[in-house]
Amino acid sequence: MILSLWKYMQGYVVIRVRGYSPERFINLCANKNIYIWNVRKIADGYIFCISGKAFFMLSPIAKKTKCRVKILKKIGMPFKFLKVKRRKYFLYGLLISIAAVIMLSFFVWRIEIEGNMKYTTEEITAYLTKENVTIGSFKPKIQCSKLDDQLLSHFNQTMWVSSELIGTKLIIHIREGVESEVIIDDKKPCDIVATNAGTIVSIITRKGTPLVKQGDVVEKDTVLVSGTLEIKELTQLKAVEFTHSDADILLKTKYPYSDTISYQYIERNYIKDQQKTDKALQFFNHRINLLKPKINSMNYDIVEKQKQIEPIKNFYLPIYYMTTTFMIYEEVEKTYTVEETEEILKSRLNLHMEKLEENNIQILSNDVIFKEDKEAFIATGSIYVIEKNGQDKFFDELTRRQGYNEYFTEED
Amino acid sequence: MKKKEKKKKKINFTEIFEVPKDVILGEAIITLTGKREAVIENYKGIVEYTNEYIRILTKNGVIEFKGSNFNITYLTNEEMKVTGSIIEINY
Repeated sequence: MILSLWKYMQGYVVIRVRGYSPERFINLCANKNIYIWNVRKIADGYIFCISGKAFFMLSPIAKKTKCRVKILKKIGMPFKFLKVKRRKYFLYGLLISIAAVIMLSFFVWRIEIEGNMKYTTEEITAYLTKENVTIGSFKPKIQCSKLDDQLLSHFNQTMWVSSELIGTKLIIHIREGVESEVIIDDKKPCDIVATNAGTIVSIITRKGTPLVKQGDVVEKDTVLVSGTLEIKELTQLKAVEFTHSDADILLKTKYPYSDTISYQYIERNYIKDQQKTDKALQFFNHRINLLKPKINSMNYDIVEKQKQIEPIKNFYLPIYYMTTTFMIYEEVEKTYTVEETEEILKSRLNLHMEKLEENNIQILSNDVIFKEDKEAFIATGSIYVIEKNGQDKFFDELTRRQGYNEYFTEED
Repeated sequence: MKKKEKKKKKINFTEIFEVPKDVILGEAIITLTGKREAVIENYKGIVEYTNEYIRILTKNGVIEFKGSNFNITYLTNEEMKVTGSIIEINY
């Protein structure tokens, strides 16, 4: 077994010897230490096997014995290689493709961002593009730790960022936290101003001078709590201090609400039978369409799916396989009934109120009226709510103090 | 006459000192495995070879194998192996 394998690796030929005395030919071979095997007799000579190298030593023997040697068969690996050698361009192609694979493995062909909730993937990729980390950038140039720091400092809502290169894929893990709170300088003097018009339900002042009381009707931008502290002795103004106002103010206010729906609307009826798909290959940015379906209708939605080719796990190539589906539809004009429109409007109103409640706004009531019109159904009215109101408005201490100067000058 | 005497002396020498005869006398060694195989050492050459018989030249004469389906499996300077079904061996 091992011997025959060895013979196969070395390569051997089956030859036929014919002539006056082929026995002498064999004897001479044996004398010259040429190994031959499987000697068989045929009518006018012999057939035997001989190693490829030894074959070239046969010509002097053949001359001596006046025998004719003919190769019947070539068996073994070296002859197989000779065949490949003849196919030069096949070999070149193989080498080029191997080189191409090695070359391609030096670049990033896919960027995956994981764990981002607030920041969109597009936002992050746009930033990465600015930092010269894109699809197709040279892998050894990317420093993951540096990239982490850059991302962390640029996106301030992220708690930690960790990027890694696996194969030709760059993965960025992002963990988002709560936005670091804007630190308010509570030493800077400020007023509290109403952001909406309404009635004061309650006011609890911790710092500052309250200018309104419960039940007062205020306009928008009215100063609710002043940051000016007037220190009086009886009615005499003695001194003026300025402070950072702080108060909890509940304001009863109303939000206007309006919504309309027209009775007539257009519905898209997708026709499944006419749905057509197109398949395409994309290399970098060049796209090759494989199927080119004929589309008769003008009305269609396009659904595109993109899949990146990954021959080995995590070894992505810049080749994409795209499946495009043309969903053809018919436009159908339809009309709502009065009941349907009312229902839709009511559900929309409920949704709106739920959203308000999510923002810690207490809803008291609403006076939304639904009206039938010629072409549309209209909902108008306002929602009455109690909300926490008040916005800090900083002022310049010096200018305000100047306003008080006249009091003091009078006194002097 | 001289040759014969020399040979006798050689035979005696080998018998006295128990030296292997194939080395001194150049005798052929034939190893048979049943009747299928024969390995012949110390041969000089093939005289004739067909499917039915093989005649091999050794230093002290020709050995003839008779049988059928003869095939020389391998052949080197010192030894050769013959397979087939052997019926007769003649000297």
